[in-house]
Formats: sequence, structure tokens, C-alpha cells
Amino acid sequence: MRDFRALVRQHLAPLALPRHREIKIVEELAAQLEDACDALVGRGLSDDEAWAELQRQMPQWATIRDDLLDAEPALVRLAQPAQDTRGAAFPSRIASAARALLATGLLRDLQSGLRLLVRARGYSATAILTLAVCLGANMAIFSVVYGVLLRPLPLPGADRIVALGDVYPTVTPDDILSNTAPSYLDRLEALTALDEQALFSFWFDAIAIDGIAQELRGMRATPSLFRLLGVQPALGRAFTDAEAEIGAGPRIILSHGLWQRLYGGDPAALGRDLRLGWTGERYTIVGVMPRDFRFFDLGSDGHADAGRDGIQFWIPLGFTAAHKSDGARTRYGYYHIGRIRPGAAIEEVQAQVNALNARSFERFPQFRWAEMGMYTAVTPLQHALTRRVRPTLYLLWGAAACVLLIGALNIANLSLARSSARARDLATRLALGASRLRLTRQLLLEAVVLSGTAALLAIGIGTAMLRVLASGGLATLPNAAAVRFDATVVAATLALAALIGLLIGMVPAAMLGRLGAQSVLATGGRFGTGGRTVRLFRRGLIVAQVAASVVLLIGAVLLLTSFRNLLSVDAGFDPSRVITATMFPPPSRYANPGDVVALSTRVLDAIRSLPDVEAVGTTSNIPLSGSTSPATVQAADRRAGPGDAPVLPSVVVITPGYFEAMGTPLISGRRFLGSDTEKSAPVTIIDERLAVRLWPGVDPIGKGLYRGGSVRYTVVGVVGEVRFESLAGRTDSAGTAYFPEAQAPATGRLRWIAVRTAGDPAMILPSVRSALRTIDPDLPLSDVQTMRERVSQSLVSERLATALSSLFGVVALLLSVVGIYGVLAHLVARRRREIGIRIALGSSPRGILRLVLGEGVVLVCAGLILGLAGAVALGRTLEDQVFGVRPTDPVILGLVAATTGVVALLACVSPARRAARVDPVTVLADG
Amino acid sequence: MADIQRDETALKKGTAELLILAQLEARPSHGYEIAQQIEARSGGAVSFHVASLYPILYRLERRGLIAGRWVEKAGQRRRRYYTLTTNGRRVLADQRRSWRAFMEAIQAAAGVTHA
Repeated sequence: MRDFRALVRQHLAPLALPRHREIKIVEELAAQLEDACDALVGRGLSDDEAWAELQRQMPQWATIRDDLLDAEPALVRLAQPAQDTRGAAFPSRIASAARALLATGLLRDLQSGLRLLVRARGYSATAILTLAVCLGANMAIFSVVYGVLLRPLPLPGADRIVALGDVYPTVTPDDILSNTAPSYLDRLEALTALDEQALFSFWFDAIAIDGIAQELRGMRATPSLFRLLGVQPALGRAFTDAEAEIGAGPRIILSHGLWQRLYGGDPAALGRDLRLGWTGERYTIVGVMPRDFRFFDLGSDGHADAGRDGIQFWIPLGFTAAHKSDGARTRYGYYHIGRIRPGAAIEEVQAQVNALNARSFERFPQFRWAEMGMYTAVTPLQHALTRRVRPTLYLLWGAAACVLLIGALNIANLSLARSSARARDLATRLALGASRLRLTRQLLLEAVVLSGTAALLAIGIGTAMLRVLASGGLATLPNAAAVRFDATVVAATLALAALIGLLIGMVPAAMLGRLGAQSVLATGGRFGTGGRTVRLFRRGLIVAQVAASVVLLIGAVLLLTSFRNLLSVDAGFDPSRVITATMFPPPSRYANPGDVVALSTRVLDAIRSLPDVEAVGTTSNIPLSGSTSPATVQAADRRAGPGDAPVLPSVVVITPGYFEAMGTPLISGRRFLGSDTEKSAPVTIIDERLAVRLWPGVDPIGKGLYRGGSVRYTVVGVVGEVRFESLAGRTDSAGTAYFPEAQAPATGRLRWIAVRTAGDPAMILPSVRSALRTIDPDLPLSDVQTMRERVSQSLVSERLATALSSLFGVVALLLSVVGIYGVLAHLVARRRREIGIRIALGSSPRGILRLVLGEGVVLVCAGLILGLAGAVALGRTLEDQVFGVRPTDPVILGLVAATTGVVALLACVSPARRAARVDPVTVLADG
Repeated sequence: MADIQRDETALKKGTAELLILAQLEARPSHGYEIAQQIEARSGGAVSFHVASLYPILYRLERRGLIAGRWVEKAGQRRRRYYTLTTNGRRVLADQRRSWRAFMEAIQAAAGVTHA
């Protein structure tokens, strides 16, 4: 007796199915083989001959095994109980089942997918390029968004660090990072929800390297800063609390970069003394920070320019009696950060600081905090640093995503058009028994191969785009150092590509699902995407594309208009032929305010005598510096009542010649003169805005105003309004009051020198430098820029946003045009027969033209309406981003809609004309 | 139809479904009978190894087009007999129709005329 079961078992590899199922299959196959064997014997073969013949006829068992597995429900294949198989572990069974599912012809499908892509070169190239450009743009923007906004700051527990800041809604509504020393000391006691707090300020100093005075950027910080950040020096140690006490010996910690520059990375630098030019003191080096330590990068948008090189040194911040005095309660200029105690929430910190403020308002009514609506903002540190660029970046990201969406829609449409051409092929294969799963898999594979190729290209395009962005002012963003391509960015791009690949593949695959064999085959000859749903879907794609393009283009045009408005704004100065630079007279050599004034006078005299200099002056604040120095002023003839909000103009201290150098127009009265000295009557010049604010409808010349104290300043002139914060300015600004330096030495030491020249302002720089050197060789001149450069730099983020959104808008429009053309051309090709019949029945070519164009017009109009609605809906988010133009400006909306409409309709013309030229005889004869 | 040429097994499998359903139209049969009937009725032009029919039988059974049950007759081996279900009958009719349409299309396209 032959063992047919053993025969089956010998050939058929284990199926890894539930045991009872596998036994049944083997039994059945064995019975059938036995029947076959019997039949051979019945034909006269001997038992042995029949056995041998049976062996000879053996089929492809491997194929049969695959087919048997295919025939089993997927769930049974995966979810069999563990004891049913030969001790194989469950995961390995899943793996083997998955492998069985994947391995059957996967390689072949992949090959045929590739072959098809190569064969359909036009389609593949279009799809891959479209996708690569869209993905690349997204990758570049995402790497910026991720680096600046999303990637946690490189500090341990960065998400628990908060920044505090007093906000004066009517004065500095944007400033959420300003603090005073006394409030810090109060908060140390009151804010128990913070387990560590630190106060710091930027500190600029100078050091002579190779005989040339160079500016250094430093930070004065309470020793708690390093504990709070959880970062220790790589070499040496952090400051002790005692080192911040007044009278303790000066100590300094260097950045890795400065240590390399000064000491070539010699560890023996520890313990050495370093003399800083500004304070004139010798500091003992106690530590060197790690190479990659970066903290508090505000970008160029912030007030203090931390610079691309970051902070170069740290010195301890201690508090003198003056720091602690109540008079210092309005002396801002410090940054305050805290670390939230484990278990506490940021709301708790906010509640505690609110309670503390309420007590302070009562204790110090003289500062009129309550009237001014002052409050303290508690913000997560990363958010505080990136707040200004956040909306712009998200907006750009949205635009890039929109372009990607349009691109993906295009490709879906293309692949749909292609799959309708393949519909018969697929339907036939389906009818002939190819499994739906296999065909679906092949369609998906094709799409994934396509999007994978695009993703690889996109990495190259994205890298190039990021490089362009970097040269276009990316570095002015806060955290810009964190912007790079890393695993996260690449992974995100690949994931996005895979997702899009699946989506693109799903479209024809979903169609396949509804593709009944007979429905395609039974139609005799006309097949393809005849389905109503498919047609609707393709039309929907066109509408969506047009709508998205309209939204993007409107955004781009709004930003362009806003940019043009900014450029043409009267900022209150004439930027041509003006060069500016800063100097910090060190207190070690210019101890008294009078010394600073004397220095200014000498420097100005020296510069004024240079050839080509038309005017020169200094100021305590330069236009577009991004910051203001508000102080309370009062009209002498009108005492403010209790409850009146105080008037807080920006207070600027200047020298005679400054207005001439800057080109600020004099409206009435006079400018400051050399005769306005400490011995003459105190005078002031105000700008138009402050004039209207203090004396509406009255000539302010001759009026008096008080600046905190009891000195009465007489208004001698009115000048045009100057934009200090940005070209866009602030509508609620109180204006500016100018005081002559000789009468009101500035509170700070920072001086900007502005020189107006007859020729190229950059040419004068060497002689300015040498003039300065003869006066004080240790005094560095820094931040040297022409006013034009300052204007240009103040617009960097606007320019970037405008350029990118314009690019996205144009790409979107192009993609839409391609999409519309493609769909209509396909439509015409598919309806050739119908069109032929219409012509044969007497339709004129003109009528056909109208028929096809009409189809296009309906789709384009629907898209335009939807797009306009979207643009209006999104308008609110753009409101803060644009200047001098309403996001719902009807002219812009109309123009963009008209342009998009015309361009889109042009894309319809060629297919429509082709339709009109259809020759009925040829078409019908073909049919 | 390049894909079809590359996919001969699919062709055979697809035809096989129709062929199996057709064999079961008259009476329930077991696998070996089905294979023999196909070979006999096609004049030997189409033949299947009985083992390769089984994946298709199982699949048809899972789709509810045929139903199998074990039958033990006196003096015979235990065999599994397959019956055409109502659903299977309907699908068979459908498939016959579309095959006819397909064949006519092929004939027209290939210039093959009816004898």
C-alpha cells in the first residue's frame, strides 16, 4: 500500500496553517493523487509504473503551495493559535505569513512596476519631477520650521524652562522678555512653582586682539544660570554664588570659540587673568563652556544681538544697593528665566506672579502699573525666543504643503488617466483570475517606486533650497544654528513620500475594486474610467487645484503688495549715503556722563573735518534698531489726572547734526544747536505724533514738558515721525521725544554715529576709523552698516516670505495648468467617438469647441469661487503679516481670480480645438 | 496585454474557475472527477493536474460559489464532493456571458470569423 499522504507531505512544504486545516488539505490531496494513480492502473499500467508516472507528472508544488495559501483567509493565516504549529513562535509565524503574502511575486511585481515606469517615460518623468520639487520645497521649509520652532532647545529639560517679562500693552506690547533686578529679587521669594531662577543681560565688551580693539559679546548672569540650564563648563567650573557678591574678585567663563582664539585651546588658560577693555578690569578665567553650548539665540529680530557666533563670555551678575533700590523698579534690560518645579504647571507660575504683581501695584502706586495695564508674561522659553517668526514660518509651511497637495492631486489625476488606459488590461487579468490583492499590490508598488524615486531627488532639491534660504537671510532667525537636515527631516520626507505614494496608488486601486470583470469586458470596446464616481473625482481634483492655486497666489500677491508698501513707507529718514556704527565708551576711562559727552564732541569734530562728510551726529537709538526706550513725559500745562494712562514716548538723546545726517525732516521750529549746553535753558524736540498726543490742535513750539523729574524742557522744534522698531511701525506708538546730549546725558553709554557723505558712504569708513583711533585706540567701532543695509536687513524675513510665497504661488499655478490640460485632453480623447457622432449629426466645430470649453469653464469657475472663499476665510491669519493692505482687498482678490481664470482657460483651449477638429469619418470607422 | 502573457498561470487559473464551476453545474463531483471531465470535454486540449485544482476549489469554496462536504461510500475512500451553490450558479452564468463577449471581441479584433 502506497502512502499518498507521505507523498504529498514530501512535496508540499508546511503551510503554517491551523493543524486541522492542514491535515484536511493533505488528506484531500492525497485522496486525489490516489484516484489519479488508480486511474493509471485502470489504463493497464502496473502498480509500480503508475506510481512512477504519478511522480513524473508532479506539478509545480511551490506554486500550488502559494496558491493554497492565497486561497486561505488572511486572518486564518495570521491568527492561528500557538499550539497549532510546530513550536514556531507567534511573531515568527506572523513574519512567515507576512513573508508568504509579500514574497509571492513581490520582486516580479517590483520589476514589472519599474518596467512600466520606464516604458511610460513621459508620465513617470512628469510625476517624479512634480513630486520631487514639491517634496523638496516641503523638506526645506520643514527643516527650518523643525529646527527653529519644534526641535527642543539643546538643554536638558528645555520644555520646563520659562521666560518671564513685564508687558506694557500700550508701550511695548511685543516685548515679553523685559525685567528689572528688584522684581527678580521679589520673584525669587514668591514664585515657589519655580525651583531655580536666573537673571541675565547681554554685556558687550572689548578686547585687543593683535593690537586691534574688537568687540566681544558676553552675558552677565546670576550664578544660578548654569544650574538652571543644567550645563557645566567643559573645562574648569561654573561660578559660585559667592562670586556674584559685590566686592568678590572678577571672574569670567569663556566660550569654546573665544578660548580657542585667545589661548589656542590651552587648558592652562584656567586661572589666568583676562583684561576686558570696557570695564578695564582683570578677570580670572574659571571655566570654558562646551563647544556646542548655545543658549538664548534671539536672531537679529531681538533687541540684543546675540550674533551668529553666540555668546563669547560670561561674567557673574551681582546686585548693588542701587540695583535693589525701589528706583530700579523701572530700570529694565534684564532677561529672567526659571525652571518649573517637577509637578508644577506653567499656570501655577503665572498665578503666583500675578499675585505678586497685585501686591507690588499697591506697594508702588507711583509707577502707575495698574493704570498702564502692566502684567508679567510667563512663556515657554523656546516660544519666547521664536515668537516673532512663528506665524511667518507656519504660513510658509502651509503654503509649501498647499503646493505639495496640488502636486499630489496632479499626479493622482495623471495616474488615474493612465489607469483608465490600463483598465481593460487590468480587468482582463482580473477575469483571468489574477487576484485582486496582487493587482492592488502591483499598483501600489508602482506608485511607491515612483514616489520613492521622487523622494531621493527631493532630498537633493531640498538641500539646494535650504542653501539658497541660508544665503537669503535664514541666519537672522532665532535658533538658526539648529536648522539642518537631520534624520528627523529626512525621515519625515520619506514618510511623506511613502504616504503620497500610497495615496497615488490607492486611486487606481480603489477603481480596481469596483472594476467588475464583466462591466469592462461586456461594454465591448469602450471601457476605461467610464464610472460616474471616477469622472466626478477627476473634476473635483481640478476644482481643488484651482482653488488651492488661488489661495496661494492671493497670499503671494498680498505679501508682495505689503512688501512694496513697506519699501515706499516714509520711515522718517533718508537712507541714501548714510553710514552708521556703534561705539561703547568704556566706564574705565569715561567714568562720568560728562566724559562721554566730551568724547562724542571730539569724535564728531574729527569726523566732521573729513572730506566728503556732509553731516554727522550721534544718537542713543538708531531707526530700525528694533528697540525703543520709552519713558514717561508730561505736558507742563496739563497735569494728568489719576487714572489717566501715562504718555510713554520713545526717548532719544542726540547731538546737533544728527537730524541732518539722518535726513529727518524738520516740520517747524529749529534743530538742536551747539549752543544748547548744560548751561543754557533745557530744550527738547518732539515728533509729530507726540505733538498731536500732548497738544492736539495746538502749536507745541514754546510749550514745556517734564521728563520724570522737575526740569522743564521747552519744545523748540517738531520733526517727522521716525520708525524705530521696524518700517511697519506701530499704530499705537506715543511718538518720540529728542533731547540734546549736552543737557541730558543718555542713561546708557551706547552711541550710534551717523555720517552722511557726498559720495559712497562705505568709502569714508577707513578715515572714520583712523580718526577714531587717534582719539582712543582702544575704542572699537562695531555694527558698521549703511542705513540702506539696515533697511534691507530689517526686511529680511519679509523678503524671504515674499520670495518664497511668490515662488509657491507660481509653481501652484503652473501645476494647476498642467492638471487642467491633462484632464481635459484626456476627456476629449475619451469622448472622441461621441464628438464624432455629434459632428456627424450636424454639430458645428464651433459648437464642439463650446461644449469642451464649457466643461473647462464650469470647473475653473467652481475652483475660483472656492479659492476666493478660502482666501477670505484665511485672510484673518494674514492680517498681522501684511502692511498697508487688507487681506480681503477686493482689487487683489479680483485680479488674482481673473489671472488664474484666464491662465486656466488657456489650458482648456488646446484640447477644445482638438475636439473641434475630430473627423467623424475616421472616428466612426474606427469604432 | 503584455501582462497577460507574462502571467500564464493567472490565465489558467482564471479559466479554471469558469471550467470548475461549469463541471459542477450538472452534479456534485470530487476533484479528480472535475479534472478528468475538463480534460475529456476539451478533447484533451486543457488539462490540469488534480493538485493544482485544489487552491482554486478552496478559493471558490471560500467565496461561497461551491460547497464541499466529506462523503464516505461503502467500500470507497473518503472523498470530498463539491456542489455548485445558488450564488455559484449566478456567477457561472455571468462569467459565461462575459467570456462570450470577450471571445467575440477577440475574434473580431483578431479577424477570426465564425465557421
